[in-house]
Amino acid sequence: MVTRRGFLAGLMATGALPSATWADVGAPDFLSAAKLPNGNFVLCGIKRSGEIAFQLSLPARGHAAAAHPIKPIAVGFARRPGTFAFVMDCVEGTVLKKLSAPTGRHFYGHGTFTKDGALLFTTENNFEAASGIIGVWDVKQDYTRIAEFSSGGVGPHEILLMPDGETIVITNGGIETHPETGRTKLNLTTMQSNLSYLSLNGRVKHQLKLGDEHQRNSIRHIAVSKNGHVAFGMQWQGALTSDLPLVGVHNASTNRTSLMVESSVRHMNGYIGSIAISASGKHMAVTSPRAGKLQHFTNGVLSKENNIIDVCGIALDQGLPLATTGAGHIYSDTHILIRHPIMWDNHLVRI
Amino acid sequence: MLYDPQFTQNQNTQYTCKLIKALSRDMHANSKAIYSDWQNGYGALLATHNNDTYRTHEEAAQRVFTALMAGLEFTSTQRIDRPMGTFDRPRPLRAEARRSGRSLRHIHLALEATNTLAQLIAPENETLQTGYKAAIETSVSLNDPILAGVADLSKRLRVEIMKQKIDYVRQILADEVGPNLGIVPGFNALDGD
Repeated sequence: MVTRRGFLAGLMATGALPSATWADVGAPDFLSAAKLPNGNFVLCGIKRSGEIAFQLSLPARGHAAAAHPIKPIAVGFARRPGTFAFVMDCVEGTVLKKLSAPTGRHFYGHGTFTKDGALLFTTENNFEAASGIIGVWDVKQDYTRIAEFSSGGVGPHEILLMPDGETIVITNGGIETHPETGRTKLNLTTMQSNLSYLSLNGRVKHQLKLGDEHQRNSIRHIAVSKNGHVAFGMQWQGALTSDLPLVGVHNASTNRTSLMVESSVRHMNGYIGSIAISASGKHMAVTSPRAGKLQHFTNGVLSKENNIIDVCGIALDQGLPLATTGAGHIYSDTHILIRHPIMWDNHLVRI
Repeated sequence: MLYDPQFTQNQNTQYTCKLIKALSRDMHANSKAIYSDWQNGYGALLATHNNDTYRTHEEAAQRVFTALMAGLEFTSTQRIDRPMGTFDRPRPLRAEARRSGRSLRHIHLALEATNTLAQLIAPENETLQTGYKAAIETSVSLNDPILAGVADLSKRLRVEIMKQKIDYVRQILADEVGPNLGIVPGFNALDGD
């Protein structure tokens, strides 16, 4: 009879012992950065029930995180203009590696892995040249920085891998900032935002720019469905009396863009904080912490809108929006699942 | 429209008159609908909570607090910042209701109204009371009905002082009153990413 211990020993001997997976850290479904009441900053794993699966310390305020596609490893990024990112082992709760932006670069708060987890891409600012950069890090070589290329614009913010596994999609917000002047926006009268699709070695495959009336609309956040529809949320840099939409969906294969008039500058207070789209593309959810609004679109039509104070992090779980707030709430659709004594930061990232 | 020569000295008086009447009717209808909603249901939703709109007393209080903060923010940023413009480029023509000479009057009334609400929310906060008193007194003594003084060096400073007093009230509300209602305003809203 094969005993459990004997079986495990056998496995060990053959070297076939499976390495840890996300299931070993209490199977979190989402990641989010947060601030604790004592002022410290953390990265948390969250279950779909709203429970916190794990909590790891960050040295300063985080922004978003990238989850490794297979291993229970997450990279937490500093809020811009931070220069650190931490690769964390979510099983052991330890920092595996500290990534520092090279001289003359800072991170923008987002990053993404390739499908096999071999490469990590990060959005960065080459601030002397005021140009957007994508940093490439080799995971197998202990996260060595092996290359960088242009992001296709100024002020790259969020980056995601397209379902083909061979394209990355990047929001170039268009806004120039410099660490010496902090988060001050330096080029609002001339800014130009775009959505760029790049090959994994930086070749521009396709770019979306909206019309002239959108000159002050900064494309900032994205979500991608399985069929490659890219939902994007914008932030308006002009007077808040405009009726221009702040949310759209772009299909790169047909180059068609649909804009959501219900998410207007006026209605959403000029600011979309986060966006999510379901795998099928049927559901889309957007948040505006400034307007305190969560909108849920079904098949491209606004199907529900809730008023939630300081709501920002958003994901879709089985067709229902799951949202986090700066006051610690986790909402499933309109219901509060749980409230933690914690301030959830901008993004709720699905693992 | 009642005060701008563009409309008052217009040749087409009949059209202007009809337009003003139509706008007035619309404002009347909107006010009536808002009032009616408060009287017939919405007020009760807010006061009794435990319903689909406001599940808890806390949520209802948060909604009222948000309205209070939004009111003060509007007064500070729209009613004062807009005409203030920058030191080098003041924009007095952007003052609200300047044609009817009511710019300062609106600020004063907005402060009085939000003060009533603030005292109901935090009746025991003395700093808040003192802060409001100072802001309201400045709005009374400013003697610059359309804020034209923003373009004049010495008078501009007085408008700026009024704004500072209003912003002080906003800060007390954010720091002392909000947290008691479970609101830490704007961790995400103020982030700007």
